[in-house]
Amino acid sequence: MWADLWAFDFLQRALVAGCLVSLLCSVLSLFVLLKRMAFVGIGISHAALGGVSIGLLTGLNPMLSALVVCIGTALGIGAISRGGRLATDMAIGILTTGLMALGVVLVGFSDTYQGDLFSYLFGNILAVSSGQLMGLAVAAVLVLGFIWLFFKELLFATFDEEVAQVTGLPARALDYGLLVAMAITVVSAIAVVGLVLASAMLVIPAAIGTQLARNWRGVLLVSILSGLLAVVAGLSLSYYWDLASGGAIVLMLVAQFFVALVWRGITRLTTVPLLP
Amino acid sequence: MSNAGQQPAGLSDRAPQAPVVALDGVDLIRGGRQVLSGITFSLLPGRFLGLIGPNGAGKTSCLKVILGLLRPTRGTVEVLGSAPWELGHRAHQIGYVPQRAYTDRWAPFSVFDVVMMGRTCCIGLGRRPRRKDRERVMESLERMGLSDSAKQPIGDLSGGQIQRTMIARAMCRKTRLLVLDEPTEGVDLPHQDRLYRLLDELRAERNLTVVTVSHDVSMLAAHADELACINSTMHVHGHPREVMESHHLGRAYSCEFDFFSHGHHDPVGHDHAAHGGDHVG
Repeated sequence: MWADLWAFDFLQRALVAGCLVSLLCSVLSLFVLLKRMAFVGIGISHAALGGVSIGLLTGLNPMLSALVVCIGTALGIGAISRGGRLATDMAIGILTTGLMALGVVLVGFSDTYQGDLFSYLFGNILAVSSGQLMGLAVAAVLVLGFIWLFFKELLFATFDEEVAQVTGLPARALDYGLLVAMAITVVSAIAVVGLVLASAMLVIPAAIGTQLARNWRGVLLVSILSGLLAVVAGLSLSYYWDLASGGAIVLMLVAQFFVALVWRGITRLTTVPLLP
Repeated sequence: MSNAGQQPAGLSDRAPQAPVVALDGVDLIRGGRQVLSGITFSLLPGRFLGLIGPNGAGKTSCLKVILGLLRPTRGTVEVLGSAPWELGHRAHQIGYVPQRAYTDRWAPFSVFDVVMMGRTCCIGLGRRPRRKDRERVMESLERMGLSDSAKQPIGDLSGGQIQRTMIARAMCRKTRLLVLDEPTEGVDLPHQDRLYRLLDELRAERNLTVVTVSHDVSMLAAHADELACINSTMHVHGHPREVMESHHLGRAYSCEFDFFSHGHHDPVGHDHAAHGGDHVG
C-alpha cells in the first residue's frame, strides 16, 4: 500500500481522513471515558441515520443534514438528562430510536439512493472526496481547538462537575460544548467507518488506554496511538484483501483492546503498568 | 436572623464583621416537596458551623443553596457579600468537598492532578499550570500530610486520604469559605479525628469559615463553634453544648437524645411536627 500511496490520490485522502478522524475520536474518547458517555456516543451516531435520510431525500448534503440532526440530538440528550425527569439512557433510547425510525421511514419513500445509504451506514474510507476531506479538516480544527482551549476546565468538569461549578467554571456550558464536539466527531467518523460503527472509535481507544496506563496523560497517548494504528492497519487490510474498511478499522481497535487486556492481566501479576 | 454566631469570643471589642454566609427565610421546593422552610442564620468569618439533622432533612440541599448549586424558592442567600451565583471570579474563594462515598477507583488521575484541578480557576483560559501553581499544589498537599502520595493514583488512596486530597484541592487557593458534605463518611475514627484537627489548624492559620454537614454529631460538637439542627426547618442553632442539651434536637430527629444530651433526659412526645427555629445562644 505504501508504494501505491504516492501513485493514488484516493489512498492519500483515505490515509489523511482516517488519521484526522482517529485523532479526533481518540482525544474525545478520554472525556467519553471520564464522563461515562459511551451510550451517548452510540445514541448520537445512530440518530445520524435520520439526518442522512433527510439529506438524501431532499437533495441537501447528507453529511450536513446529519450534522444538524446529531447536534440537535446531543443537545436534546443534555437538556433531558439535566431536567431530571427522565434518566439519560431513557432519553437516548427514545431520541435515537425515534430518529432511526424516521430514517427508515424516509428510506421507504424512494429506493433510488439505497446504495448511497449503504456507504453512510458502513463507511467507505477509500471513497473520501476532497470536499469531505476539507470538511474533516474544519471539524478537526473546531473540535481540537475547543479541547485545547478548555482542556483543564474539561478535565475538572468531567471529573467533578459540581465542584467545578462552585469554583466558578461554566460546567453546564462545557458539558454542552463537549456534546456538540461529540456530534461533530461522530459525523466526521461516518465518512470513515459509517454511522453503525462510529461510536466504536469514540469508546474503544480510551478503553485500551485504561488497560495500559493509570494516568490521563498515558491514557490519552495510548488512545491516540491505538486509533492511528487501527486506521493504518484497517486501511491496509481493506486495500489488500478488499475488506469493508469501516469494519476492518473497528476490528483492529477491538483486537488491540483484547491484546491490552491480556497484557494488563500479565503485568498485574508481575509488575507495574506499561505507562504511569 | 439568628443571633447565634454573631458574637464570637474575642471579637466583641472589634468592629462588626460582615457575615461570610447569610441565609434569610430560605424556602426550597423540589419536585413538589418542601425541602427547606424558613431557614435563617448567619455565619461570621472564622466560625465553624456544623449542620446536623436526620436523613432526608435537607442538610445537603442547604449546603447546595449556600454554594449556589440550588436557588431558593423564597428568601435570600448571601455568600461573601453576594448571591452565590453572582460571585463571578470571587467564586474561587469558596472550597467545596462533596460527599465522596463512591469515588471512582479507576479515575486516571494522580493525587497531584486532582489537587491541581483546584487551581483551574486561577490559571486562565488556554494556559497550562505554571511553577507557582505546582508549588501551591505541593504546599497544599504537604499541609494535609499527603506530599508522599502526590504521584499515587487517586483510586489507590484510603477513604481518609481521599477526603484530605479533596480538602487540599479546596484549599490550594485563597479560600475563605470551606463547605464539606459528610467529610467523615467511610473514614475510620483515627482519620476522622485527624481530619477535624486539620480543619481546626486551617481555621486558626487562615481565619477560614467552615460549614460541615455530618451525621457524627458528637465529633462535630467537639470541633464546631456552632451547631444547627435542621429537619426541613431550623429546629435549633447555637453553641454545641446548648444544642446538644436542647429538647428540640430530639424533636428534629423524632427520637430521644439521652446519649448526646449527657443525662438531660427529655422524653420526646410523639409530636413529629416541625417546629419553628429556636435559636439558642
